[in-house]
Amino acid sequence: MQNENPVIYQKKRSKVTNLNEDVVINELEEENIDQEEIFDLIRNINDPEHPLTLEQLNVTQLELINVKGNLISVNFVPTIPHCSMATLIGANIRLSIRVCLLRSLPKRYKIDIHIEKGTHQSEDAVNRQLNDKERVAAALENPHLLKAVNQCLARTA
Amino acid sequence: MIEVKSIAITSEDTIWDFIQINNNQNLIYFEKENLVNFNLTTNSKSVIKLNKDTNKRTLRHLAKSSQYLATAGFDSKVNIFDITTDNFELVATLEGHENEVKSVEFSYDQNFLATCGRDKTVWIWEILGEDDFDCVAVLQEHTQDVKNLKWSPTDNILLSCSYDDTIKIYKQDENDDDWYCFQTLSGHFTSTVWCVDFNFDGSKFCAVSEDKSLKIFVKEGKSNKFNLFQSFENICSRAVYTCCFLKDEKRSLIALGSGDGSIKVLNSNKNDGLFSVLHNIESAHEDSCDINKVSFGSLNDEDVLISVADDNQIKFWNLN
Repeated sequence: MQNENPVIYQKKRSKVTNLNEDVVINELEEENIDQEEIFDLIRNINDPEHPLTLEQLNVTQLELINVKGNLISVNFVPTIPHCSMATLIGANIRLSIRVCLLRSLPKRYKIDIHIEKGTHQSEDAVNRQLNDKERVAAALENPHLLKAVNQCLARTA
Repeated sequence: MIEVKSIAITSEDTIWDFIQINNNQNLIYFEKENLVNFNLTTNSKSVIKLNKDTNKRTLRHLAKSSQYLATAGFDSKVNIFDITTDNFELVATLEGHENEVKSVEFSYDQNFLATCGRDKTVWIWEILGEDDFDCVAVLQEHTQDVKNLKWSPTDNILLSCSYDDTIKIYKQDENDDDWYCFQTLSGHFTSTVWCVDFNFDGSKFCAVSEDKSLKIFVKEGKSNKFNLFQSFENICSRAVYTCCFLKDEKRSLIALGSGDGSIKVLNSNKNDGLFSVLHNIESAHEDSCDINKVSFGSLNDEDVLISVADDNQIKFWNLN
């Protein structure tokens, strides 16, 4: 385990109560989504190491999401600033956020995911790998990685 | 430019590539674990079955010679089909790359095949006849994932471009026939170079990048080295994934496709040869989805531009 004693943060109250999957999808197709709806999609992704969500670990934060028309930018804060980009844990978190949004949003949305500035030693290298669509496609054909990602996404809508 | 034809592909996977064969009468693409041979005159299609272990992985790139069709796969294999046979018989599987193969191309004289991939290498295979492909070089010049390859249409000069932001140019040593890198173009791009393509005589080539730029390079007479000719920074608002040069002596056209959903065509001015945007189609495919490949081709003997995007449609655009 790389991060044995994570700091746990208070969960924000969900904007939509009684979240119904069909309702969410219809809303997404008809009108542009906002930053809170994006946050609701990714807040419940599980951390691969702990029975905690990315929201509880402050990895995903409402303030780090930006929506402009069909452009969605999501920044996140890694749990530890030095975790190697080669480790499966870090890769899973990053990939899980991207896959969650790819699966939930219509294709017209362009998604950019970045590490929040100043929170990781190799930001640029991680950001590039994360936004290379060919590398993401190849990663999702790796059955071990796909299984791990699906476990992270088990509690999302 | 007007859309004159479209083909919808039934697939949940990204469609990355297509290729015209048989004097442009047929179009080959990947659909649901099979290769499809689509007849553009009759609009009928036949399925070319692939062997079981290859069909679970993405086919990233297709190439052809007069005899063969080659596929570059994320399963690390290159499969060679004989397109002169009725059922496109699989005649060779080239193994050696450690992981995803990203691009494959036949040389203009059809004596060589080049492959490249995620393992940072470029391989050159000599085609010896009798479906025999012999690896003659493994070039380890790039420091990252090699994305795309292109041979000159007039001699055995090869380009490769990479996630390491550079373009490398290779040729064969005149004395000992060894392949080597004789030029590296670095400092021109600030991110992944996704695609390169030569013009009709190999005197120019274009390159596009994740950094949203298009750059055109020209061969200097004596040294045979390439220098930057023209640069378009931020020609698109997102990554540019694909570019192609029309192989025509009379018309100098470049087409490109971007992650911003646009397709652009540039032509060159007769006086100084400088390029400018002639056509710009914003949201060329449904919902401004990413354009994965553009290629010049023909439909009913008319010049067209063909594109494929994340909406899994192949579209044909009239160039006139």
